Amino acid sequence: MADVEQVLQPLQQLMRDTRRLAPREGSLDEPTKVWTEQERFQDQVADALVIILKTRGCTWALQGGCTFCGYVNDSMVRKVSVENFLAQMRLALGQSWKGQPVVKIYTSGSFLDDTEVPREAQAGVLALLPEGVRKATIEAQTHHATRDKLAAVRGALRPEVELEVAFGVESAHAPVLAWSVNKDDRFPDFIAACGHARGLGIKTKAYIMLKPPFLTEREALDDAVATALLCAPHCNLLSINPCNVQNRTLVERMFRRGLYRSPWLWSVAEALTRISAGTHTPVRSNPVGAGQQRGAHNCGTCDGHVADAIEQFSLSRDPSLLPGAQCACREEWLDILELEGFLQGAQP
Amino acid sequence: MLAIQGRDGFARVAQWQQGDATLRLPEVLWPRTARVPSPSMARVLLAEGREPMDLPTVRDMGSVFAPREAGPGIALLPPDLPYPPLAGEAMVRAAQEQNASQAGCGPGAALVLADPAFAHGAPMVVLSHARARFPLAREFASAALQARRTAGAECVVYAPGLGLPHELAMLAYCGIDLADGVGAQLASRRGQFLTADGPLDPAGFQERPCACPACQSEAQGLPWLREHNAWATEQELRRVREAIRAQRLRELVEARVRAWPEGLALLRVLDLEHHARFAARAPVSRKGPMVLGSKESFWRPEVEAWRRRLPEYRKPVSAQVLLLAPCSARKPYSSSKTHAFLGKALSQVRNADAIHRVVLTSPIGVVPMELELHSPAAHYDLPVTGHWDRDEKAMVQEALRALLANNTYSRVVVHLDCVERDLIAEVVPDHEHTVVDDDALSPKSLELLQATMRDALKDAKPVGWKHRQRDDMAARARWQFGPGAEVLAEGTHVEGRYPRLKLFGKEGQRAMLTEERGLLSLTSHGAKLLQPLGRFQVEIDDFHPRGGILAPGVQRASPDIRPEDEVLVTHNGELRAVGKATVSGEEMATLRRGEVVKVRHHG
Repeated sequence: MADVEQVLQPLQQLMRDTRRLAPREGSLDEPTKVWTEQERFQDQVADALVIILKTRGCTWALQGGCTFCGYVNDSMVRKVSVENFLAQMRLALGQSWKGQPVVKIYTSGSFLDDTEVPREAQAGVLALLPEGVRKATIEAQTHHATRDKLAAVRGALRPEVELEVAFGVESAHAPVLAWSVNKDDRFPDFIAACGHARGLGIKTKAYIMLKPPFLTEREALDDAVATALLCAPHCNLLSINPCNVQNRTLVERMFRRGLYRSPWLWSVAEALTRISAGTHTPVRSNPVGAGQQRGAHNCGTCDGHVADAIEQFSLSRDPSLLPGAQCACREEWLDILELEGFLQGAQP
Repeated sequence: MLAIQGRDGFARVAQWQQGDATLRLPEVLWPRTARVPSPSMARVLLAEGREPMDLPTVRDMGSVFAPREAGPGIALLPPDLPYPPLAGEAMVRAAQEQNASQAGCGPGAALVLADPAFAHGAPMVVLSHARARFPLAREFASAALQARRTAGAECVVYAPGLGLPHELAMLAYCGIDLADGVGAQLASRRGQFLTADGPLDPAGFQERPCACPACQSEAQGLPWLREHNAWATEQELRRVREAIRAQRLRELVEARVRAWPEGLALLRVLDLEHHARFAARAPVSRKGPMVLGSKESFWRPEVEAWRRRLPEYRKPVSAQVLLLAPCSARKPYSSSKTHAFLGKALSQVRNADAIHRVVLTSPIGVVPMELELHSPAAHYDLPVTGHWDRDEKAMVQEALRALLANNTYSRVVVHLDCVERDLIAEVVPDHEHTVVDDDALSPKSLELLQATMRDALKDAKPVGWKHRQRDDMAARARWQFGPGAEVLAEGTHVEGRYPRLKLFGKEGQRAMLTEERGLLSLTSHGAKLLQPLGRFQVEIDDFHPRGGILAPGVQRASPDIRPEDEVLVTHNGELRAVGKATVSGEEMATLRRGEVVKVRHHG
């Protein structure tokens, strides 16, 4: 029997074959992408500057990586120096920072992974944040978030700036992590990382995957809710990420063969309802590509309406805004929750 | 425990006893969940959880991602790692390893299709991902036949997610015993009205095109569709079971795939890429007609097998002049008006026993008259309009080439219409045509035939009719039992009136031709002569059979044995009996119950 604590080699190999990564051309002194979005900060809606830094790529993804993750397609697959990181950061702030109180610095991998982002750069990038920034968010894999590293990044920021670290938990359940997500973190890593963060006054956010491959709609919904409730005591914010179909992923291969359907928006709404009823830890979701075949979607008629309600809930945290039974497709979704398991992998 | 009551190819009708429950097969499992009720005619349920049910239940225990406990059931589907076959070989192997470790989860545990070694003792083999595989005809065909082989005769094969009414005949044809109503319940929710020809949109109905209890009731909307779709499934199941008993499942399958491209693709793949396995299961004699009503009929296993064997055919030795004759709708040919006229005309020709009459026909190619009782020559029925399409032409020409490449005639006389004559001309330019004005039975044509034959026969060796009868018997023996079987007719004479011909050697009767079977039935004398060929043999334990031979007594069976074949029953080289196989050799090897040979003579 395959061990859930081990990486399943055939799955890892399949991910490598799917990705076919090679070194990329392009300046290492410019970030991948920069934009501004809205998010909830200190009980208000605030502007947030999002900076995606160019890196050699997520170390885990370069070895195979998670079955749904297409962010690795941004990888340069060559060395990015400390100077390069600082240059990217200066350029992004110089061109796009217009006083946004929140700055999110993402790498499409793990900010605290020394192989991806050298230690000097981890501190150096954060130290560049100008006065006026009140919150910084970074993303990391849980097993990179050691006490030392967290302390170093905390120390690079002025004390009044809030630091938030987001962790891709995906699932609290080892079989899902080992055989569906293909992740090298396990749930105890998350609990440990959150413990370190709390001791240093760092806020934590858990990303929870809704419907990784091979799970039925109901299995996925139950797994996301259970995971969120297990994460809740340890972190400050729960983020439900409905799986979307990204390029060059296992999920995409299955999608093309009619073997994968992104979750229903009903499932997203249901997950938010159940989670907010079960914990005081705030929960939110911003479905990527909502209403499209490659994103969380319903029947095509009610998608806009349900996606808006989810958006409103995420900003307001008012469960009464979550959608009720406004569309006949909700009945179909409820039937599918009960019947899909009998289909053995075929889409209902 | 399985009691098989009827067979047609891989399909079977059976009573399946599992615990206290007795199921009929093929059968459909109906899901029962909190929201989805099982329909009123459900006999077996598909459910999860621990709640006891009032009907026999197959329990799904979820997946490795969310294993569920199961209550009482006739079979349990253990929590599986559901990697689809399309994920790649290594992934599938990893999943199989994982799933095999789940196989032993208690009595009645079913198995996800894995290594055949795991199948021992399991009552059910699950064709995993059946519905996901189905659109890929090649993939599905191989998986379904592999599942059937893994399962053996005693084990039930279940194809989860498949079981819409129009799919049921095809599933049975692939050897699948169990399907389910999950697809039907999802279709009901989506407002589809299911029929044996596929789903319809009921929105535009002026009247309900069905007379099931649900359609005759006042029920509307979802309750109506749920119940109707279940009745449509039940009705087709009954059709399928009856078609299997009547050995007419192939005809039903061909009808069902007509408006169903996926099914049609699958049938083509089965015919063209898995011919041998289906041919080995096709009975060599049958009762009713065999309707060849579609293009797919041309590749039906029995028909294709006839054409493939033609290069092995050898004519009666004393026959010297080939007469290519038209086919007739009435079978056997000799009972038709056409052949009565031809026979009468030829009887007035001297040395007519040196003529070899061979019927030219689509789609089986050529039928030498001495084999006219053989299946499918004696049973096939197809529309005859005189129009030949390219495929038919090519088939007949190829068959004729095979006949002429392996048999030498002094002259070829063609008594056929212009169209058929033209296609022969491409193969045998050097022939004589004897039909005048496109009317084969006109006095003019028949006179020309007589005159041509007299001329053709003037240099032929004289042949006595007794001699010719014996040669015909030799040709029949070879066609039935394979090369070398001509020995059966050596030193014999034939008695009786056609078709009830008996073959006698000095030691006594060796065989008899019977019209019902179209085959030679052997006596012990005949069987002993054929024994050295090593074919059609059933090796049994050390006992002396009387009535029938039961499956447990069989040690080995030649794989060339098809249902209805004449077989030699032996033990350690000693002939113990002669009889008729009721199942194929492949099935004899794994069957544990029931009669497999009807014994006629015992030693």
